[in-house]
Amino acid sequence: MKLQRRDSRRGAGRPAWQEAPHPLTSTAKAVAIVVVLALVAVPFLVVISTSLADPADVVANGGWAIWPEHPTLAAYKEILSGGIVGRATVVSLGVTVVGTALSLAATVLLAYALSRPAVFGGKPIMLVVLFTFLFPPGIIPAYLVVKETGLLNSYAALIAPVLVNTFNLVVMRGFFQSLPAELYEAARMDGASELTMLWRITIPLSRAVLAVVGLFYAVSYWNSWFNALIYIDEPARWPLQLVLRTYVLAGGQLADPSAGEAGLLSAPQTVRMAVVVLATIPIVLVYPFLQRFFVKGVLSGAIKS
Amino acid sequence: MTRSPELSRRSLLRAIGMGATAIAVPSLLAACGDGSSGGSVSNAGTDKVPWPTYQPFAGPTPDLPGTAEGVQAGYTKYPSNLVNAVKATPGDKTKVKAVAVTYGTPPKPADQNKLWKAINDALGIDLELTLVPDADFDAKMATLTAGDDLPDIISIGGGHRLPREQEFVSAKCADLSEYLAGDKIKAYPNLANLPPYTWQGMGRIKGRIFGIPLERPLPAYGMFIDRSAFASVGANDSSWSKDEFATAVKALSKNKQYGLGAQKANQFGLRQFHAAAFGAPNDWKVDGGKFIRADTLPEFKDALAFVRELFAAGAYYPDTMSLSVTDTKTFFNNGTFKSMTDGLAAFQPAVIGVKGAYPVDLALPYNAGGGGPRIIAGTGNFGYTVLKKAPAERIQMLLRVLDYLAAPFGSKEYELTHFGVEGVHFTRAGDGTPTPTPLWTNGENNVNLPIIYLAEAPRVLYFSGVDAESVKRLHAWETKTVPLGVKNPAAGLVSDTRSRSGVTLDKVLNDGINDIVTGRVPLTNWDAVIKKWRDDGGDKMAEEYAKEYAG
Repeated sequence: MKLQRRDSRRGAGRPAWQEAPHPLTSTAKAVAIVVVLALVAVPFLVVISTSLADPADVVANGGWAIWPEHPTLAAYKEILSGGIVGRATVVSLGVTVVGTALSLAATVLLAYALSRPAVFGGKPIMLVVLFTFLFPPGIIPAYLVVKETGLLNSYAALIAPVLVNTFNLVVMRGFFQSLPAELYEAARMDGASELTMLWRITIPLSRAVLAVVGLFYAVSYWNSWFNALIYIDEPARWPLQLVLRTYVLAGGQLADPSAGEAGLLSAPQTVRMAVVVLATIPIVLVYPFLQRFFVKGVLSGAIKS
Repeated sequence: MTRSPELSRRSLLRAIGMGATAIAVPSLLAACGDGSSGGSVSNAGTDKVPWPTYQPFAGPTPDLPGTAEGVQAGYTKYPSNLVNAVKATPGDKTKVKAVAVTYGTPPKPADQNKLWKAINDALGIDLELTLVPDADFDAKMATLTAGDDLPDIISIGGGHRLPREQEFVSAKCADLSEYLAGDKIKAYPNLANLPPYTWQGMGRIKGRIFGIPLERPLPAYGMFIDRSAFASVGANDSSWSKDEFATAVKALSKNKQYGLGAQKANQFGLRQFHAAAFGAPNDWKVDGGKFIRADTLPEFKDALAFVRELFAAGAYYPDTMSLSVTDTKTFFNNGTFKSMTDGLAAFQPAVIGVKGAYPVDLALPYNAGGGGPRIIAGTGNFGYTVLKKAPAERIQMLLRVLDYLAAPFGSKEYELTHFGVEGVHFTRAGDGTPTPTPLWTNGENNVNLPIIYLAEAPRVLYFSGVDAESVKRLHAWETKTVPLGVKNPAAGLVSDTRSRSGVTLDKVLNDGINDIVTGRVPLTNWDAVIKKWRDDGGDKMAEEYAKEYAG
């Protein structure tokens, strides 16, 4: 009898020394998981529902909807019909693709050079790199540099100043350093040049960290808007996030009491939420494909073998 | 394993030391700059140029007359006899760069934008606009003004201040005195139609005129109310006491509805409505040549205590401190808030947003003894526009462009800048009222293409989509309250302390108000807040204003 009960409490696949959890613990865990899931899912649901709801329903409900009673795509049509958002999407995609490619290339090259022992000037260069990590430039000095180099109002201004991210560089350099030195010694014996070693040994062994760093870069290019605000005057050249930001903010922060006309023509809540959905879609689409690398990349170096 | 090129702890510390020096250097440079920035921008002791001569525009007669004191002219219908306010195309076909704040979304580029094209054709220039979202104005303008290639037209407004604004304007922008002072402004008749209070509200720098003001009506704030709800609890604002007011708003606060509403920036409507009702001055008061801040006076503290009591009684939405503009308007429109203290420009959106569910009106201030009741009068402007230094010919051309944009209500030019092109952006109803087309409401309008922040006509009481009765109510309220209006004597005066640390000082007071009203700290804390404000520069600011005022 007693033995049977023990058996029934021990779940399938559970090791012999581990007792099944108390029902209260299981319930508490389940509740906790549901609460956490709800904390993530409900805001998402509200955002999506509001974007699809009828503006009148949203106003009547105090600015949001949990479920669209009269679903409509009007908000999306309004955003996409102007031509501005479409154009800005192209700009953002271009900057993200080109920027990520250039950033990855530059970071790999620099991280590789700095990861190799006894590179001429390696230590001072590393110091200079870390220096920018500790003391990033202020807005105005950065603006003046971009202006003097003639990059103002060009897409290059969105990429060049942030080409190499020090944090990503340090992560990648650390990963490269963790590769067995014996591999390089063997390659060297076979007459491989540094570039060959980078291309044939380091990169194939570092796919996980490349995926993670690439994702970091892509997300930061996709999400950035402030540099475009500072460096690009012409609204027609703004990337998506800055344009979407104006939709979210439109009429929202009228410090001046007399700017009410803007409130009248400002984007309704449904449009703002549609904007949030649009801005999230690409990231949501890309994450699942990179997730397995992501876990691996983050764990790299956790256990030394 | 080979030893990787690790950084030693010492070299890292060395790097940090270098960084510390590098950071210290700019602040030293800035300290040098303070002493040599061309001295004060104050008007005190300067030879002041005369204000531009006021020459009112003779256009269509208003249905509800305006007054020189500031009651706005009202039009219950759109005038049928539009006139031309500009004789010739002002521009010279050159490219004109301008920067302005925007509350909208980016417009389509000029070649695809019919409104922009029509404006360019009418002005005779190729207008290139740099638009700065309101939320990012400070950061963008700080960088823009740090570089040397300024745009031709720079609009500063919307409650924003540039870093060391007067110094910047007087050093980098054109002195317009020789074109605008006294009778010289008559060369630009639409700018001459800007009333004197708006020029004075803008102020002079070093005794000279540097800008074109963006006029706004003098009555600045009001408490919008749901007239039927207030009537339902027997409230009559024609001569109510503060207790009657409190009883009414408390009675209206039940079932998740609230008698009082205000967005977070308006801080419970304390400064905008209640303090004035208690008789406190508008920000500053001049007494025997001395400047006294309203917040330091007993009337203000009494109003603070009154608002605190109303908050504790549940007359305010509990999370008023984080209410956005949009949420506040939404709550007023759907009846959650029975009143909303806001800028007068919220009138049109409110009447339209309420959709006839109840009559939108404005409450008269209650009686609370003291020197009240009063209402807050505005500075008479939204901001101002300055021009980059240029040869006289170009300055004159740019002034003609701004003159066009300032063409008054009742002119064909105004119709273009405010309603767009007939048949494209608006159609005319049977009585001549311009009715916006979807093209205008969905994007091609003067919010997304904010030319109205470069220069604009004085505002009148005419609102498309607002019924004649609502216009009459607003005009009646203005007629009763304009005599009660109290101006800020510091408006247009320059204080170096204000220019340098006004934002920080305001925060001291505003944080103090929030803490006290919401009951986080006792009312007695207010004296400590005032002391901190005085010590941090408030007293110095008062002295500087006094000196400037006397000068």
